[in-house]
Amino acid sequence: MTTKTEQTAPAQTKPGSQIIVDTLLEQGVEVLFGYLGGVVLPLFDKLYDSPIRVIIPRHEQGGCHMADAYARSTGKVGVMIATSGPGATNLTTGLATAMMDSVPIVALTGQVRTDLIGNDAFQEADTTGITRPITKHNVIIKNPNDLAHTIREAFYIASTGRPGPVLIDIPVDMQVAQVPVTPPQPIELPGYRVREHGHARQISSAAEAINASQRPVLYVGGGVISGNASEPLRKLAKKANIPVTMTLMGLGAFDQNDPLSLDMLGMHGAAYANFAVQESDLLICVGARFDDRVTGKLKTFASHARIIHIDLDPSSIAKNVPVDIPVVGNARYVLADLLEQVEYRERKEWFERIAELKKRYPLRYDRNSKMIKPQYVIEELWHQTQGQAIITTGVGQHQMWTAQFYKFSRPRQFITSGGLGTMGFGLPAAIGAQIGNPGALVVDIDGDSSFNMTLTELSTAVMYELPIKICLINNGYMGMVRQWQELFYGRRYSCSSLKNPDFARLAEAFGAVGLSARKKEEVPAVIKAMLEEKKPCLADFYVDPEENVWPMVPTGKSLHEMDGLNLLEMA
Amino acid sequence: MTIQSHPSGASAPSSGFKSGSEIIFETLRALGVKIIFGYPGASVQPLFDAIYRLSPDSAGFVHHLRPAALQGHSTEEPIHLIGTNLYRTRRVL
Repeated sequence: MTTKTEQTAPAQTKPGSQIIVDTLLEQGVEVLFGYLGGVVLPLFDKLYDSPIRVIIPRHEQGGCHMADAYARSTGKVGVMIATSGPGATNLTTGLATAMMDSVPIVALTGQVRTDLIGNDAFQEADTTGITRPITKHNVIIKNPNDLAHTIREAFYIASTGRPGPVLIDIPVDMQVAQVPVTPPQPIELPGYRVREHGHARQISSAAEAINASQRPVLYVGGGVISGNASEPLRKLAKKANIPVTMTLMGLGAFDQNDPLSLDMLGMHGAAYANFAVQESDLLICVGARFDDRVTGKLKTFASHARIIHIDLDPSSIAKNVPVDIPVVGNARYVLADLLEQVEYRERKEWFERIAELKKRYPLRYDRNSKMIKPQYVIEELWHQTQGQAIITTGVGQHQMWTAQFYKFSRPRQFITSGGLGTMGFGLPAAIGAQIGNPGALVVDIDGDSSFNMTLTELSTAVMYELPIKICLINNGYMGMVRQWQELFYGRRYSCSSLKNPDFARLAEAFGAVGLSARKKEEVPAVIKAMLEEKKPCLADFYVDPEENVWPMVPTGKSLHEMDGLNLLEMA
Repeated sequence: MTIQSHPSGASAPSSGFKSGSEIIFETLRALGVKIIFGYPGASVQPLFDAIYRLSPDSAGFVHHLRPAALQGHSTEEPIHLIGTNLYRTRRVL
């Protein structure tokens, strides 16, 4: 029975910090990553009593990469909390990484009291100003009544459309203010409309072009993975009989063990993928954005092909190349609609040509070398894990060798920083992926220079007893920089070598297990020991210091003008 | 504005132009900069190359590095590279 007194009683109130925690729970948050500081203490105080699991990194950048990899590997939104000032500025690399690779993150930063903002207060920074270009959306809370719906909107914006990071800056007085509790309202954001389904006429045009094409190639990117569109992609490729090449971000979208797979394209892509794209008469781009590392010289990129571009983000379409048939929509729905209208074509000549290219220019390396070849370590890891591990990487040569020699079979299996190219991503990413996938085998294939950047997070892995593996491709150089200096700067290795610690002993000092291999014969046993280890384990492989990544499309060259083809070509 | 470019950022010997990276280096030196702290990467490679080419005491540097790296890998001795490298980097200007 409702009485009059109850109707007029003041609404229930809670502190803003409790509202934040309640709203995170309402959004389904089970785990978040966060680092403490003065102006987020009210929030951490409420987290103390909540069922949300809090993972403390050793540096906010690491925490942001963890939230990022948690999101990439699970499809959920990653949540990161940092304090004001340096806490917030330390997030920038992580936010920019997530922005470039379209990863849904909600970052909550503390801010100094509203009456101190602009005063150069202790640990004050203009967080919304600094992060505006590297977030999909950001906002500062000026009224504690806005907390709940702003957080709901943040989750909505981060995870819908083309996903991306959203930051909410929360002054400490907003966290302690008493706020009336309000039930969730429907989200209404004028000006933010997501077109999930493609236009029917555009889809028909695309289907007609596909059915008429002699030499089609599907060129697919991270949008297929974030759109959960792998299954319709597989069906489309099979039904219409079209080979599939993937960008770095797209690896895993299509099973690389499938005969239709052309593996990765681009600067260090498979030669057969690059040639196929250049010889195609129809390029069907799905959830990719014609990045310069993919296209090489734009003027000559797939110059004989008509181009279909399927993308959720209309601003991506025709940004870099003229597109013949644009389709704005989620890859999942557009590919499902296309599937109904495409027909099987044998394309005998085209597949014969592709088979010839694959046979003539396989990805390979010198197996007879006495030194440990980095590709050998990755290939052996692929064998021993039956190709099933979740793999993270840093950035550089080891990342490209991983993309070339670990064959991925399912989406969300390969977690790497593609767009921003963030060295140091691999270790925190492995931690975030392991948190999101307890029981899964997670391996960070890292380079020595990348690993040096964030290795402090080993401490996090040990503290939370995460059985992550670190497979260190150690060549004593910033390998990719050195490769460019060798090829384009007359072997002048300016500042590109490092004095490294003994990584295995360093791992032991952190409380992890450290292994190393200096001889080729030791590699299989060291990988086996690493994989059997229950604790976090690092295996340091002393590889050939001057091995290069081949093939390579030098900047400014066309995609078919690859260096190193002579090293790949089979007699 | 006329820009003459060379893949490595080095000026052609006969040209009256300098590369952007050479101008940066020489301007820093003229301003009295003695020490630079830096980390290489794709889009600063021409600048690091200018530092390497134009600093007076960097000659022969490359001859130290490669054998040292290889030696470290083959003899199981730690690789002593960065000491040289750091000093070179610090004293380049």
